[in-house]
Amino acid sequence: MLFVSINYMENKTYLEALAEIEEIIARLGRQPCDVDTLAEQVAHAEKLIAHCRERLLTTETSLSDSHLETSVNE
Amino acid sequence: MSERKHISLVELQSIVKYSVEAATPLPLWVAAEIGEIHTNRSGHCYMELVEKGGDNAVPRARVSAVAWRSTWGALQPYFVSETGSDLATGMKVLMRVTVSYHELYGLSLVVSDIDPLYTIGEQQRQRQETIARLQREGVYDMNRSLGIPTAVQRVAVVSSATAAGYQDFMNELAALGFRFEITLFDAVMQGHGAEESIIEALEKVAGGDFDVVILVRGGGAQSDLAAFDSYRLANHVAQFPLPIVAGIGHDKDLSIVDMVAAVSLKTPTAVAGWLADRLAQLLARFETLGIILKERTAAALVREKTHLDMLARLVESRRPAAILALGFAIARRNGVTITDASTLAPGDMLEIEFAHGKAKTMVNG
Repeated sequence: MLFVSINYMENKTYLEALAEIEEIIARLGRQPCDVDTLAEQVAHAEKLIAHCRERLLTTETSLSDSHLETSVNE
Repeated sequence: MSERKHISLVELQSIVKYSVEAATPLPLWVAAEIGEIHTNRSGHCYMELVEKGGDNAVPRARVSAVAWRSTWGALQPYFVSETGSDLATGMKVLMRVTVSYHELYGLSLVVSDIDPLYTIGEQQRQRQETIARLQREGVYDMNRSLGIPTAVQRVAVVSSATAAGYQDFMNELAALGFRFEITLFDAVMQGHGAEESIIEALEKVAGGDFDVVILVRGGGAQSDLAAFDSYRLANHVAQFPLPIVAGIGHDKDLSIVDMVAAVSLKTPTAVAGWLADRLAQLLARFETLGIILKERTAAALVREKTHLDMLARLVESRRPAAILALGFAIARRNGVTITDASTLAPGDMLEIEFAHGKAKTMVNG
């Protein structure tokens, strides 16, 4: 493959990221709340959201040609 | 020099011509399949008509035919307007012909009329047969029952690089601002070689790592869509291991490829919109979670602060100085706090601590 960009994100899929963020949100609602790890968890969730956002949006679409790809693989 | 009685070749051909033309003096309606067709620069259309039979569809009859410019100039547009497609190889036709025999060129049929309804009927019959066969073989719903991944970003496009439809698709996709990895698998999208070319392209796609396959046609004239009704291509599409999104573009009926593809959309531009919509929905989920995260974090902090304040008040209220300030006092004997009067004996010396100051006293009894 010529491209590596999109599917590389700590090998995390969107669904895994969604599940992880939802779990952190659920933890925030529970009592007692672990104040010490709270900031850390929230920062992690925010990082995941930013990462996924970046993976979904871009200013340009990458294009490759199947012939080019074949010749690279061979 | 031989004295054997003979005739010249022209005389022989004249006899054949006379016999043939005498046997079929009037125009006849003939049903056949177009084996080959091309229009020359003068505007005359030359065809080879065939009739195939048996399981292997081997030709059982074959003859040349011609439609002179004077008739073809009217017949061809009429046929296209009635059927929506141009005459092409493999098409079943009903033509009114006159049998003609030329001394130099041999037998040929001269076309004077064509019945588009016959071709439409044949195409419909063929389509129904193909649909029934795909259903009978259990493949009709296979591609449609594949799930579409949550995030479709790795996209294989089977199209013609130079086609307007493909350009429309790419332009629209770029304008929508989402990230995609597009890999083009170039194929001939219309005309005689389309079926084989698209199948070859799909076979190449199958070896790659993609979320979906997009099938977009060239656009332009609504000419030859026959490939998208063919059993072989429809069968490949139906059984393809990745979901296929068709943006073939059709004015009249859905093609069979449209029917068996996981998703069928009217235009290449609509396909681009469909792809972007899916990512927009996913993005919206992340953005909603971002908002909820902020709200819940703020709420959790407020809640924790309230809890701490309450604990602080509790601790404060239990402080000895606060209790003494209410008018209570602590009695100690030899520095040990007394909580039970029965442990005291007359004559014990006690130290009483007040909110302000201490005093000594003796137990009387």
